[in-house]
Amino acid sequence: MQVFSVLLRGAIALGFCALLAWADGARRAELLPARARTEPLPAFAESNAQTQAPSQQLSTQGIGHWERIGQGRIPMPPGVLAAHASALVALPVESQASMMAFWFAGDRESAPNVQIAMSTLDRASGVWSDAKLVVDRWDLAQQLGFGIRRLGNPVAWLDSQGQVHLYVVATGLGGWAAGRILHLRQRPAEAGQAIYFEPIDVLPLSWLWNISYLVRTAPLALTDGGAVLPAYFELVRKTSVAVRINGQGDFAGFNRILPNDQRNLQPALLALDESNWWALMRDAGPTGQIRMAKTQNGGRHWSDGGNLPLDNPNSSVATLSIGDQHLLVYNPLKAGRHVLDLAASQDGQRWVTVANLARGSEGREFSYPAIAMADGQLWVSYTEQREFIAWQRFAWVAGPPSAVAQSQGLP
Amino acid sequence: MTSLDFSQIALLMQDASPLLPDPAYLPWLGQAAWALVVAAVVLGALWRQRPSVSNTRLLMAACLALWTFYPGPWGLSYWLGLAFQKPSLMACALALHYVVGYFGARIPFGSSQIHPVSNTAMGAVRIERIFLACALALGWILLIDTFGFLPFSVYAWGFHPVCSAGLLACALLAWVGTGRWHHLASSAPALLLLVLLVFWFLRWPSGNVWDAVLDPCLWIALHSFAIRRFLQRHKG
Repeated sequence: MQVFSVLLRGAIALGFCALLAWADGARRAELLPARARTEPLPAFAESNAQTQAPSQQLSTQGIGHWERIGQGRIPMPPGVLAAHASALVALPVESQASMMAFWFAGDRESAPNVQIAMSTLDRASGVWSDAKLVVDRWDLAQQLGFGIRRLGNPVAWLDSQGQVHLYVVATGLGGWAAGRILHLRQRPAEAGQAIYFEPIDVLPLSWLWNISYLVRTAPLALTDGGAVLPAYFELVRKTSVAVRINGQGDFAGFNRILPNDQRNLQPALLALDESNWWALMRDAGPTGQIRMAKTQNGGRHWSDGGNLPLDNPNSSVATLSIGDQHLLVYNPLKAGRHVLDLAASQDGQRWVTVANLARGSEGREFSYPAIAMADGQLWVSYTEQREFIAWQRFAWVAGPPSAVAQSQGLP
Repeated sequence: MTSLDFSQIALLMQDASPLLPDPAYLPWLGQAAWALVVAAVVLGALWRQRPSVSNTRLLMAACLALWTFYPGPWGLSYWLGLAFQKPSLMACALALHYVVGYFGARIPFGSSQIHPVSNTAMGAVRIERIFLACALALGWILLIDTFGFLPFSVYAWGFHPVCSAGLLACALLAWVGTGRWHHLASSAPALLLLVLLVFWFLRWPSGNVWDAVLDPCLWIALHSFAIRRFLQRHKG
């Protein structure tokens, strides 16, 4: 009788398993039509901007140089004392605006009133709009059903449907080390309506209440419409991770970039070709250089690439690949953030300074850059003295740089 | 000595796309989950002080549970969510089991501990001890993994259906092995089985099976339970 009982239970269990497998398979097919689990990770698209706006393709082959054609500051929201950590995202050609900039603004970094500010670049006039505060923590808490203590770095990404996604650092109980990555999606707006971002959820990156995961640098677009969002963990050990997001901007898994290293953070992804990527990371150690990791299989497995021979004072960098040219914005110093340069490379090994973006006396700060292409022009934004978000615009000009162009426009 | 290369197995487990629950349901699901857990903790704490069942206690637990639904900073789930995000499905299942037992004026655990141990079958007790040890070990592994001390990410494996299917198979085997038809809801394998079934359909709370079966708060509570059990046995 007991044997019969066990057999009967076994049969019930097997029946359950079969039912569950069928239900799971059906749902997977419904929710994830574009991605087969057994397929390798899709190759990356040549750059964020090229994937998002095909008209922005630009040939940088042959003799030519980047020439600065404009610079200024993005307007701040009224009454805001501090601004930091800007992010740029290029918009599709049919959009009236060619670019959006996001940053966090408030009384100071980590102040209770810090919100995410946004400004758009008008395609026709090339003028930045007045800044608006688009994300605040009280509204988020109301919609999420739980509290958010502080807001921090925003990262923006445009999905295959033309909606902007924001990944924002939102802290729990504690400082930045208790930060989580909150995913927000732009809600489709009628003409004339204000842009509105609805919170989706916190990205599930760790068992320990998801704490201490932050974002800073731009996602790398993939050919399947998804992207790799660089993120990092910074409690006790600082390690970088690559988060896969699908074409709808939803979380689709993650892996660590250098699990054995404990002082790398804020990875900026650079695609040398379809499957060879580099992660250039801020090094929190004493080396004063840019840390590097490599992948040869589209982010499936990362290996240690040592340090790039470029000075960097434990400061965030920004990268962008345009055709066969790779661009890097960084602080070329062993200590301090009072100099900010734009450098270019063909192979990722030898870097040449293209432009001095900012140069100030010791103690001044030009940091946390972002870089993007829009309408064939290169845009760089960065924090100036933690008070403003400054921008500079470059155009690719055939021929060698003139002496005037080389020396122009230093603040 | 050559180091072991775990990259292949790590890659195998990391390539699955997680299925996440609909965000529209998350706020009220989170509040309901915290309401259950809060009610069970309050009832359990009161029972520890003086083992008795009363309507006053039920009213207290109900009031605190209702408090979690209050929106904004004056609500309890606002702060619980801020600190601990969402409880695991297992914590909710244990809490529900405790509260239902309390309502039935029969404390299912024989003591105040929030753990479904029933001593009706020695085999079941052994399996539940194994479950407890596994839960404690799993928590330690996930904690170590959180800080990046492992060459691969155990947490990321939790998104893969193979992982949840493996856990489901273990729970089924344990449930079949306990040989208790009439205590479906009062054994650890049965509760784990129910939790995994719910997870399979809802993917709650995060799409990761580890988040469904064990959360850090439950893990800490299990430590306290295991230590008390150990001391009781040695005193006995």
